[in-house]
Amino acid sequence: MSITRTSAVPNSTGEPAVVRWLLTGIALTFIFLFLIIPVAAVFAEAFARGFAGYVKALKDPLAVSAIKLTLLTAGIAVPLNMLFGVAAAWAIAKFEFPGKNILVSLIDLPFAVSPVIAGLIFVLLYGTYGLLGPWLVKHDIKIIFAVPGIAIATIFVTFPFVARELIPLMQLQANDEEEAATTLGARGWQTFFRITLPNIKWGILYGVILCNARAMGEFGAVSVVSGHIRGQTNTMPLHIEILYNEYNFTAAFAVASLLLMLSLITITLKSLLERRIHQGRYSR
Amino acid sequence: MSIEIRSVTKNFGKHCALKNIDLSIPGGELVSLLGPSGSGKTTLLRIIAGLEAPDSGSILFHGEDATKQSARDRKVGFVFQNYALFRHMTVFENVAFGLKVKPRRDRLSKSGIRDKVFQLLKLVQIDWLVDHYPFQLSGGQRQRVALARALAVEPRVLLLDEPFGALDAKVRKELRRWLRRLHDEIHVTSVFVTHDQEEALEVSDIVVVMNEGQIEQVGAPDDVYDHPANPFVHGFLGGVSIHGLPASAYVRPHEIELSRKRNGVPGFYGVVKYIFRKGTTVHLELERDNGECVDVEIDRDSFRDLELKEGEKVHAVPGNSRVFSN
Amino acid sequence: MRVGIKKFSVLPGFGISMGFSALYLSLIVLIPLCTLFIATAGLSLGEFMQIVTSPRVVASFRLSFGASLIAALVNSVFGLLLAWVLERYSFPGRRILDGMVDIPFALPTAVAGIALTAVYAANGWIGRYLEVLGIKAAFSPLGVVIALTFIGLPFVVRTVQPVLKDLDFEIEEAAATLGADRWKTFSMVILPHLIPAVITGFALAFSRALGEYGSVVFISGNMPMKTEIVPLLIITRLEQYDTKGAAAIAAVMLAASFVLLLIINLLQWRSRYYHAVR
Repeated sequence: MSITRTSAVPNSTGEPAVVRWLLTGIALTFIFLFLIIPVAAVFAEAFARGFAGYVKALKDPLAVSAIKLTLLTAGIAVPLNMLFGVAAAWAIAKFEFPGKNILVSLIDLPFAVSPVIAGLIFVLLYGTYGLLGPWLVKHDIKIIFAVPGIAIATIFVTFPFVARELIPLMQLQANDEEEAATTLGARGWQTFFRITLPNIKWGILYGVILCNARAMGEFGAVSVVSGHIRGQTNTMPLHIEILYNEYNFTAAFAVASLLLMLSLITITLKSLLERRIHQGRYSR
Repeated sequence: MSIEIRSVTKNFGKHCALKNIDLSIPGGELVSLLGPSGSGKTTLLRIIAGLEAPDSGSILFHGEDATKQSARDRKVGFVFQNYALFRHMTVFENVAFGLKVKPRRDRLSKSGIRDKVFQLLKLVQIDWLVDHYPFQLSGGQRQRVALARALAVEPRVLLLDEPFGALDAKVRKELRRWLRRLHDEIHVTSVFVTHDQEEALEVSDIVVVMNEGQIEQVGAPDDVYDHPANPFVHGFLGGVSIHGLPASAYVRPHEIELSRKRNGVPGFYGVVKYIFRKGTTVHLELERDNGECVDVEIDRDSFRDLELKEGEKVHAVPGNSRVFSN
Repeated sequence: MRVGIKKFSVLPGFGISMGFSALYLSLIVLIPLCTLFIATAGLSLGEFMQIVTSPRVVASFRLSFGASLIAALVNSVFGLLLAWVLERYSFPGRRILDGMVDIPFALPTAVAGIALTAVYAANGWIGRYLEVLGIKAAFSPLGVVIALTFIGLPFVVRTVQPVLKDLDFEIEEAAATLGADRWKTFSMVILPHLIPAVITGFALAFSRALGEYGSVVFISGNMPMKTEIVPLLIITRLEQYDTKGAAAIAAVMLAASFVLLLIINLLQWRSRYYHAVR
């Protein structure tokens, strides 16, 4: 006859506390070394000469013109890619046609291309010695080493953001609601604006936010096509590079801190929207 | 509004969903398309609605060819299986949608739309839910919203795809009786798809039994039940078949009588394999000498009198059996 | 009877949405990418081989592939661990940390580059301790690996997390009732489910690292033959007006990227199929 000892049932589907602590510790150290310290370093360096130095760096006319150009570039690239994303997602998610998988893969292509190559192809196309170079020179159109080149290179590198977010979202939603609207007499554009758009608006916003972050921060592709003309073709990341190479660290990090804040806002909005989109399946 | 379906065929890739379907649905009736899944009933309904195009054949509404008409112009009310409510709109906005998207000249005034929506919501008995969103509603309530939304545009025909499929058993029963009464009130030609024979027999004026893309039988519920046209219809409506007595006999489980001894009446012996007690009746599964299994349904009193146990041998006499010529 | 490339649908707008998408895709992506191959086709095979097999180019390819491989491997191990900790354990600040994993996605590469350089340089917050240990982080191949690890960090985490979330908890309980201890449950039951996602994440991180420019150029020091990555070499050639040289190197790079993209697509189709049949 044995006497049963009272003991807590060991958790059969969890790790021992030691393992949990160890794994969490390693994970936190990794995040600390690779993410938190570099982020903190940006702010620390930016304010190395106090708040006055920080403000002075941002008020510099060249910094202001870089900020303006960055805003302009994003202002061109983001709406165009949004339009494309919605159109492509509509065609891909709502219709059946051969070659669909290939189209989806082609949309992702720019993500597989090095930003430097993205810049290079536009130099090969529109540069002075490029394919269309002679024609452009004859008509006095400047694309490379000018704002249009920066815009088009940025469009290329941010091309997939909205589309790749919307395609799975719209495929998940099936066509029921749109079909219901059609049987109720709605025209195509009524169905789109009243039914489809409200259902994908958070998805669009999500794609737009990510697209914008990349558009404002793109460095490699823009670096190739810009020509680094100060006050004219310098975006914020290029301005940071120049300041840094001139050993003007405080100013470089001051401008960098703006982009860092943009990215922190971006990831905050991103995680808020992710929750919103996931709930959206059950509520509005 | 009558509906005429003329030699409609539809293939999905290599799969043939509908094979040369001919069917005419008289105006004002409540018709059910009954069949197992994959029988093509939903495809037929979607073709009537214009949500799917037939490969060949035509659809006529009131004698008028509607095959080329878009779903938008057909003026059908369609209730989707999962209701397809607009999830970002309230109940009111859902029901009002069809009224709001009309061209300006046909559109009711704002107050007109409001009155009409409330009238419809009263009709489907959910006017108190007007400001709720779909996610706040129960399945039965969503179903009623979907119905009100479809009725709002005054459709010429009302089409319902498995209208009670997503509901639990009790609500199903309630709602289908309510649908029957509603139809008696508004009398719009209605077609609904179901795989539940009980539902079809109880609610509809005409039952269309479908199987593998073809129509097996069309008739009034009693007709179809009492005089099934072929073994499939018989089987689908709950019948059993017994082979080699001397021909094949088709009976219903409750039409088989059991006795301990053979009383000189032709029948067959079987061993009781399983006994299921099911409310007022008892279901027995008999195994014949030839391995064939036969379902039998008897009432509780006869079961008690027979004192049957699993593993015992019993004599069964099929009554009222039908023979189908192939 | 309808004849057309698409199946019948009641929804309108296929023509316009498809037309616009195809046109935009061609103008922005496909045609420009073709020019790279046109430019390369202008070279004879001998010229091409001479460019891409010159010692400096080979060294840069070796560095780019090697450092990307190491960084992607590091990210596979730590990404799996991070995904596990973030998904399975609860501790204060977990949500914030989970969000922070996306920083390398959202942070402009130039900012990442100067930040990492500041931290890992000999006088930096971490670099000074590494210096004591005799390790030179910035301006060495190690610096390249650090930068590539940084930018590839989110990929494995973000591909593994959803799989871990969808994993039916009952399979772990089943393993436990069948007598498996925790390590066996993990290695024999859970890990096989996660491996496809880890491989996909690895491939994504590797592909991203291969093309990375901004975060590397600041920390690497850009010494020819030693710490010069392929994208930098392309830019250098371009700045020397050696367009053909740049195009030839880029073509090799692009071909490698496409092969990787193909592999990634196959992996993702496979895992989707795997999930569908499950």
